[in-house]
Amino acid sequence: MSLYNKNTFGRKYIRTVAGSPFPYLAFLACMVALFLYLALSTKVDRIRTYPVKWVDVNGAPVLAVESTAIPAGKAFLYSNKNEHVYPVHIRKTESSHNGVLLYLDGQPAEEIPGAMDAENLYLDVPQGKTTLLYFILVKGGKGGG
Amino acid sequence: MDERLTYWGGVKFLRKYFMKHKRNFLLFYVGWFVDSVLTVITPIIFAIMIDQIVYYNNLDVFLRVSLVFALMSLFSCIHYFLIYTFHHYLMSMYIFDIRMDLFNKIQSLNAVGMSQARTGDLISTILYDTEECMHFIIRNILHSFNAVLKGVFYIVYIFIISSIAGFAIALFLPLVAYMTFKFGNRIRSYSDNQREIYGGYASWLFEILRGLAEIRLLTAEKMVRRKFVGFQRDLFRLDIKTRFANLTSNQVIEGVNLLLQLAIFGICAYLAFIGEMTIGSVIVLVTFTFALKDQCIAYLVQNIMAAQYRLTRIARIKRFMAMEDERSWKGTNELAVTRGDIRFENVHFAYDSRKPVLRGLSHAIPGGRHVAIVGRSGCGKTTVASLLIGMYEWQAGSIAIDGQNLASCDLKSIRRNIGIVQQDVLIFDATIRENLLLGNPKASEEEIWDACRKAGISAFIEALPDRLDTRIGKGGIGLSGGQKQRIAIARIYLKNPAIIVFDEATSALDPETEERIHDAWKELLQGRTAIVIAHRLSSVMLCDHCILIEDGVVREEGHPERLLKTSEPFRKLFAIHEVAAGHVH
Repeated sequence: MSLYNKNTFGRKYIRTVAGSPFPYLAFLACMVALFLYLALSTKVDRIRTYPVKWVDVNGAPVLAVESTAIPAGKAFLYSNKNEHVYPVHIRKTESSHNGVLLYLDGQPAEEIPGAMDAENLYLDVPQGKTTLLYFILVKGGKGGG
Repeated sequence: MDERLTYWGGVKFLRKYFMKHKRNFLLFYVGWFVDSVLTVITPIIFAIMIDQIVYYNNLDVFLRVSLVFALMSLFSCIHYFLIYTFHHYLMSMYIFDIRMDLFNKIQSLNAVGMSQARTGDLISTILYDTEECMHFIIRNILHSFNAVLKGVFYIVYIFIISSIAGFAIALFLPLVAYMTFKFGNRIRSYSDNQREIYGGYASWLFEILRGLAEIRLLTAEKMVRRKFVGFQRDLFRLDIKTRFANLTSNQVIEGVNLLLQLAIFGICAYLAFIGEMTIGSVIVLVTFTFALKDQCIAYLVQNIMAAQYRLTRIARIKRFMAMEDERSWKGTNELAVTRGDIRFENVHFAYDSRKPVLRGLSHAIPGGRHVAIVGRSGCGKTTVASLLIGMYEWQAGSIAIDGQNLASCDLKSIRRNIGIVQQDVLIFDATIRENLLLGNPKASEEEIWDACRKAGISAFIEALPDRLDTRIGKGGIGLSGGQKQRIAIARIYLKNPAIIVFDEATSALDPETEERIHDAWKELLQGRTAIVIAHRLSSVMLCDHCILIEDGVVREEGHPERLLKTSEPFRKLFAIHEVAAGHVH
């Protein structure tokens, strides 16, 4: 009885993979190209975090930020990011003597429990987009959220 | 104690083997590098996905990143399979090359090397040490380099995510590195000793297993058992020491790693609590810390320790490869034998320079003469035959065949022209045909049968069910001493050399069998020069000339019958011997 049965497929496979560098390099090139394509074409919001506080403007609570330019649009408000993050919508912005005033849609100060009392309030504002590759290689995933 | 092999020394020694497959080694390394990059970036991608969905409910980005993640994982699986194909291919080819070189070396070892090399050592070197060479290159060089590279990636990313965590890791790393090298050296010295004892033990065991019957006859079981226990005890003691050192070092390093993990967990918990770190970042940080511990620090520690053991084994191969072999034989001329004249001219030879064996031996053997060489044990009879077939190089004088100095002749051509029949006939576990073809691999069926008939073994073979294709040796039928001698004679017929040496060929046979073997010799010796080294008078009397060697020179010579009448030393030699053997003529 023969202990060794000739494995034709196995031999062909080994010859193809180890016999020439091209099959492996072709596979590797495809893999790298696909990854780069996906990582470059996938855009992730670039988010900046601002410390904010509630101020009273004409009897209504408005967020004040010590910054110059904040775009209107979606933003995320929180006191502790790991407890709760509230999605908000910045309707309009207005420059003031020490920063920018942010007018939000609805009445978030009333909807967010404890928002008025929170000592440290932060606002994450998406400002443009960047590639997934950048977030992975340069930021190490930090700031991707 | 031999010089220790360094990392660089090991690489230099193995360089020629991996350079032979450098393309596949390079591809294999590129593969591992890509795999390392994938290992590093996978947790980062995962962290981005988590942060996007947990904090911002961004399903769109989550799904896109998930797609990248899924495709990468798929490619990674296929890629891993391909890398392992390279790994197994390289492993097989590389080990094959080293084993082939070792085997060639064994085959070309000179007689001094053969006597020094221990069988058990050789077996374990070919079977096990060769694998360690490959592990040294792949695990200790390629993977360790990758582990260091991955470690750098991890530390850089840990610093990017949290500089406090980065500093905590940077604090522990030198401590781990210091302990690794400290314990590594200690384990290396244990491993060297263990290997040395194990080599001696394997060789001893091999010899004992070969001589089991004799041990019983000598009733030496108790002594052998005592030695066996001694070996076991020595190995056990060293094994305990090595394991203890291994365990201690692993535990200490584990302890330091545990402290490192606790520090990282504490930092993560605090930063998450104050809202400075996202869940994704915590996952990346913890994953990287574990990976740094398992894939880098622990891996490097284990491999540095294993490297000590591997380097010991590579050093053994290196030492073996450096042993003197027959390639040092200078002769290159083709020996052409016509008449078969042999001339020894003032030959000096010593195995040990303090104890010369031949002290200016001179003798001329005309072609076709049958010369018996006799003398007391250790007088140099077998040495004369060994020098004639180039097993040793004599220190002074010359040996010539048909006027051609043997020192200037190629060893293969010398051995082609001289046939030798010894007391222990080499019989392989193979068919009779395969055993006979050792004499001449190109011999035809007719030539084989003719040789068997002349050697007087054809009747025995014809009676076997598979005739020439009957297996002999351990896996087949057994052969008596006389039958083995006939096989040896048949081989000589097939080889058809001009000169034949019988080195105590019939010493172990009973007188009746010896007489029948002598009949087979008579036809074989016709027209050939023969040297018969014998302790028995019956073998000597077959020759037409006899020389008696004493103190490394020819003391007496002449026709055996004349010597029997006139030479006192000759008579004394055989009287003593024959009485001892119980065959007084």
